[in-house]
Amino acid sequence: MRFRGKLVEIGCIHHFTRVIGTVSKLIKQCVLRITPANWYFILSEKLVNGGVQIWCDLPQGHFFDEYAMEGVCQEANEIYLELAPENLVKALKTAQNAKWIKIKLTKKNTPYLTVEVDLPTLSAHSRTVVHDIPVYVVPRRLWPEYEEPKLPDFDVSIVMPQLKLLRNIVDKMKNLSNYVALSANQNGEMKLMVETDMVSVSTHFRDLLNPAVNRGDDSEEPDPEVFSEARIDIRKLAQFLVGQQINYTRVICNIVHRRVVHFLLLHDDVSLQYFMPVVAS
Amino acid sequence: MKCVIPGVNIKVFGRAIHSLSKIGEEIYFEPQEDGLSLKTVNSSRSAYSCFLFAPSFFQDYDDGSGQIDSQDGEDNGLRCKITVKSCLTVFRSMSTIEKTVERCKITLNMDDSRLVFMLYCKHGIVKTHNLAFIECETLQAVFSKDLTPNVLTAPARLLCDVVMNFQTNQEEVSLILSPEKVSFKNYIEDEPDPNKVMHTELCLQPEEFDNCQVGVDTEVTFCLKELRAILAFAEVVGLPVSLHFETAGRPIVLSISSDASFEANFVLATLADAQTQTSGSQHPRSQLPSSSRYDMASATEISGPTTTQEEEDMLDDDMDDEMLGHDETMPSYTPSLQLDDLTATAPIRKPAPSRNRQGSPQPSTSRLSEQTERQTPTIPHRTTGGEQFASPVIPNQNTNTKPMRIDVSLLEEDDDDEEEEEAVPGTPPSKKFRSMFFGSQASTCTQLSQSVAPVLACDTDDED
Repeated sequence: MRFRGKLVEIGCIHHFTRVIGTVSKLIKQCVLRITPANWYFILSEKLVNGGVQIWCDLPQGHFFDEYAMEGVCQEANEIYLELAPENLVKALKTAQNAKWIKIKLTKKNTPYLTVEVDLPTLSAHSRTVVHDIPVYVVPRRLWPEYEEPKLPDFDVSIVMPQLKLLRNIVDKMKNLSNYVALSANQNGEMKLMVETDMVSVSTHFRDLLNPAVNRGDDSEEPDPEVFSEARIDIRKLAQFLVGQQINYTRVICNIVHRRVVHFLLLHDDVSLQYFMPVVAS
Repeated sequence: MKCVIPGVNIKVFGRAIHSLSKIGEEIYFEPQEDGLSLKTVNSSRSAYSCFLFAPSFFQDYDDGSGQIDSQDGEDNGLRCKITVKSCLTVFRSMSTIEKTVERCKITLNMDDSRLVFMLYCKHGIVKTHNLAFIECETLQAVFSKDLTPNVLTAPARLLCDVVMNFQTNQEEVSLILSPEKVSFKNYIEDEPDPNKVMHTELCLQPEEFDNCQVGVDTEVTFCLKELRAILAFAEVVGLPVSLHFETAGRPIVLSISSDASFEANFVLATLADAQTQTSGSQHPRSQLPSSSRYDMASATEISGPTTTQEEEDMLDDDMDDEMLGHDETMPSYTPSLQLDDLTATAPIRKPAPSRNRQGSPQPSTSRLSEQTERQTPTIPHRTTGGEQFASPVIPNQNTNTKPMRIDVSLLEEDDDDEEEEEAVPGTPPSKKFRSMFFGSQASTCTQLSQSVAPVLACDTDDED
């Protein structure tokens, strides 16, 4: 098992840091899957622990100037590592004006993902800082747990309003209740609602876009006015909104009525999927 | 006492206060003949810092010794300490102060017992801060930065760049020195599982330093927080920082000096190396007490009457020797007395030679006898497995003999307590830093300034 990658472009380094920064805000511990083409950050919580699933993929060619890997074996040319993305971010934060960053898999008693940063100096000397991030190599028999989650058939698919705006609203609502009902229809309308014994607060958004949904042939087109609703943990939603550090080109929210909310965040080739299960009322 | 800081120097003075505020809780304010000194020590006595502003730093400087002379016939000026909080209120916003203040006058209002800071701003505005102070003894750590085998001098910028690479929650950093390279590493040995935390290491070429003198290859570990405070100051004044150090367990001295106007020295305790640590942990005596006890110790210094109570409290939880030293001194505010709770910092692991190196020519035994002659209460020492442990230094109080008895009794109880504590699993680990600079200070002081009431350190070997 080998991995070695090198980032040179400062723009790439910054973007890479932001992407991993976003991931680290969402999860403490995740699985990094390294394939010849992509880097994936995966979280797949068991239902009993909340059932949140995160799937973030980064095409390596977008970031790395040099990239060499050798998986466990020929037919499974992949590496699965468990790590705290926060550590990776901390290491990358020291590289915000680095000349280059090398990321490699090393073994020093225990396996580490080593981040080597070449810092700028005024003199001719090179100055490197080395961060060893402890990782746990996920054995092959556990790999199936980290497969890309299957997309369910969504009832509604809608482009979200500005995340910053949503964040402000959700932050206020957070003080009222622990749950928020997120609902939307195919007519470009979205609604956020908190309800308590004393008060019911809802925020409506109109004129949003509905991306085309591919449906099976047999299912009939639902009434565009009908709202699909999902009641979710408001703190999780708030945390998700607060952690965003990337200016996404598009944020899509898919809802399966009373089952799951799926956020799909797109920025160039990077995509991040976040599955939030509903909480029964 | 009266001094006036000209506008150009206010920045330096204010930043010095800021830097001190990040280290200690109180600022010891001591006008001396050779300048105004500001000192502080942190609560666990593992870091000490001292700024000395020469008279040339000021537009006008009068240390006020003449005045005191006439009043109570002592040859030492007033020494007082003010809380960092109150002092920071004066210099809170440095950017505003730099822009508006034309000069700052510091005077002592004896009638109201206030230290008065007057900031003369633009447009004739005068801001006056009257700060309450506490009279106290001088705070003096003794260290020898000129004799250390290893000296590194670097621009503040370089060290800042180094420190930036460590996490903000990183507590300690190790400096590893060899002729080929200088490297900084985060200290993680105290983590529950060092394999589970991130390791960071940064290597520098010796050529990057203005001066890199390697006497012995070594690895010293010290607190990052204080280092950051020091560098923050050094960066603002744009002066190089010199690091003087020896080996693990011996203090590291950082100094910043501007030729004529001021000098700053910071002494940080370093971790004793693993070997010493292990041997130390076998002997309860050598366990450092928790820092809170030190806090209390210093509290007693100020609040005389309450001491007994505190003392008892302390006894209850394995209080340490410095307390003993403490109670004798607090009733009298002899200005010349060395700050005893400092000197009494517990387990000084280093054998006597270290002290000799600091200029004390006497062998330990003779010093010991000298102590006895002077009726200094001495603390029994523990000799442990061939390794010497200097026991805490107990300040000398020429006048009283009584504490001697107390000491012994307290000590015995003390021992038991500690042994007990040792047996309890899950007690917090012993504090690792040895603030030996306060320990060794005492003896050196005695050697250096004869006028100062001797504060004596006893050595470890022969009592038990």
